[in-house]
Amino acid sequence: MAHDAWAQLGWPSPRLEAWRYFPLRAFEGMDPGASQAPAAMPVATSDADSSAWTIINGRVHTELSPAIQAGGLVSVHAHGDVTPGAVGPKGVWADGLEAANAAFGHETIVVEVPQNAKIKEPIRIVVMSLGAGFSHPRLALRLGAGAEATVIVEYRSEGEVFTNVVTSVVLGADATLQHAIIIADDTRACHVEHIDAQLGRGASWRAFTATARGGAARTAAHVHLLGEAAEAVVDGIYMPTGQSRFDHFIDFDHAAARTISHATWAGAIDQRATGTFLGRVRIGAQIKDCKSRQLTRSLLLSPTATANAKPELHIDCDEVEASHGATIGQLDPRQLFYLISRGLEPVVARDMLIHAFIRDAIARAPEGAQPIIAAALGLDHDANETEFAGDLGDA
Amino acid sequence: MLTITNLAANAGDTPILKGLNLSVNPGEVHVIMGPNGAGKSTLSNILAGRPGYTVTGGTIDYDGQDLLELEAHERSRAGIFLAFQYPVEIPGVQNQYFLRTALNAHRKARGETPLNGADFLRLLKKKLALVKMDPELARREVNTGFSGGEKKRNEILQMAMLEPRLGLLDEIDSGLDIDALKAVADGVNALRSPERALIVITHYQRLLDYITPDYVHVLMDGRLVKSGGADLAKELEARGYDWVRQEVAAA
Repeated sequence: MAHDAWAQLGWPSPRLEAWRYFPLRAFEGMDPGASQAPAAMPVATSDADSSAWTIINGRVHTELSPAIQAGGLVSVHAHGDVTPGAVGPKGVWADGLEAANAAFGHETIVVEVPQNAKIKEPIRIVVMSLGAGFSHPRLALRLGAGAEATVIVEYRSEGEVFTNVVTSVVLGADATLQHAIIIADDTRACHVEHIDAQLGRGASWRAFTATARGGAARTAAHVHLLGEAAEAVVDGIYMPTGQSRFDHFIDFDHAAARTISHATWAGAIDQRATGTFLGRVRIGAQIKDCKSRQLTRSLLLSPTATANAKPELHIDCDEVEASHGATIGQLDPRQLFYLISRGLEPVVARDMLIHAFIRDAIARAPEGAQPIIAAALGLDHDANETEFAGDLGDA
Repeated sequence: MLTITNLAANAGDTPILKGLNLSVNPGEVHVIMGPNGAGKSTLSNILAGRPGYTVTGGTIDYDGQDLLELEAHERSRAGIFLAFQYPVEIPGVQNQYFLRTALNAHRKARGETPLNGADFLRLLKKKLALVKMDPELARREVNTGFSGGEKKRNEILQMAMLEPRLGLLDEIDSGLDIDALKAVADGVNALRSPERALIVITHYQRLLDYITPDYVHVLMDGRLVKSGGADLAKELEARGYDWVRQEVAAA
């Protein structure tokens, strides 16, 4: 069925509004079932990595994570053909790539947190695409009622690879998931991620995406606020440079009363790169007392950088609080000169202002993910006010 | 230390300085007064190397080198400090962090090792006391939410930390009430030394009740047209600038 759907839908066209700024023309002749293994497999290098689940080219490699114990919260499932029922209430493929993931994917890694379990230690998953061709990782994050967990997913690929990810998030009533997604790929790589999140009554999904590096990267989150008072906070930061295109799409479907959607995004775009944010909010006439807020700030760091920001609000109910805002600007030359006039080289002054811009964004990410995100974005996380706060009395 | 000869310069496309001459030696305090638009800020911005200004003639010699050959950050490291008339706010950059980065950039240029956190904080504490500034301001973001007086004090703190050889104070007294003015003046006086020269730009004589100048110059129509001692400032306060204009025209 998935194979048929892929055959029928094919590559998403830029004529689809959601794909407007992310043309996939370069890939259209390619076969998403094709992949080429890398010359050498990686070895887990750091202590932190040795406790992470490692997925390479769509398969889980437990031999690279010797500290992991089998069983527990994380399991791996091989899968055959999968209908889209598991990835959206209406059972319809979002696009051809979601179908391709089901058709050509090998394994699904499932994180299942039982009812009322509160997992303090973040669960880390490292996803790598290596060699050449396509890989189709599949992640399923499921929290039972009242459960709490933090999942940090890092994407690192090398080579001319196309990572086509589908992530399914299902949160039971009053469950809370903190979810960090960090994309730090090769600049020849393409990353496309489809996230489907279904939130039960009172559930909370706090997601943060940091797109630090890659040739082209796109995340599309379809958030279904199914239970009353469910809340989705989907924030992020993207910093494309060179000729990279980073694209972030969110569709918030408020399907129940008193649900909340927040999206706060920051983009710092350099050289000839493009950063895009599309935020869609849908609230039907009978869905009362919802709150929705979208804010994007884009910083253009060069005259050839491009930022796109587009909110799309389909709100048919009057009893709602909804706002959206987008600012696009450049570094303030007066601030730059102030720093330079104190002896800072222009590039150091520039970095200081860029870091100030993004540090604010990173503060929204799950705490356990912040150092990883700061490192991926090239921020010296230590050279920060925390080093100095409150020390004057001891000096 | 500083010899400006026949300096002609534009702010944007507008000619502002039209043949300015000035010599400053270490230990001296030179005050520059003059009507609005005369070029006082243009002079300090040009010395600091601010973009948006063009030198169209003349020379600026600083310690035997052509100052115009140096970029703005190099001039800072060579010992020139500009206290801005309107210090800009920089949210997201902590004052202490910025000061330490600037100081260590200066130290590196001098071939000295950078200060570690503890040593830097010790030095900062000393300088905060010297300029009588609330330590809390060091922890806040640069100039963000600072009152006018606090912003000017932050300029003086930076001067205290960076220890320039030539300080350019661009209307350090503007927007300040008497108490803030006294506090800022105290800070400036604490930084006077035989090795350091100051060029103080001001509109008002009252600053000079607290900072005693060695020389007072009148900048008018793009040139320094008259020089004198502290008494000249008092005379300008009493009589305005017209009599100077007439004197210059008659000459």
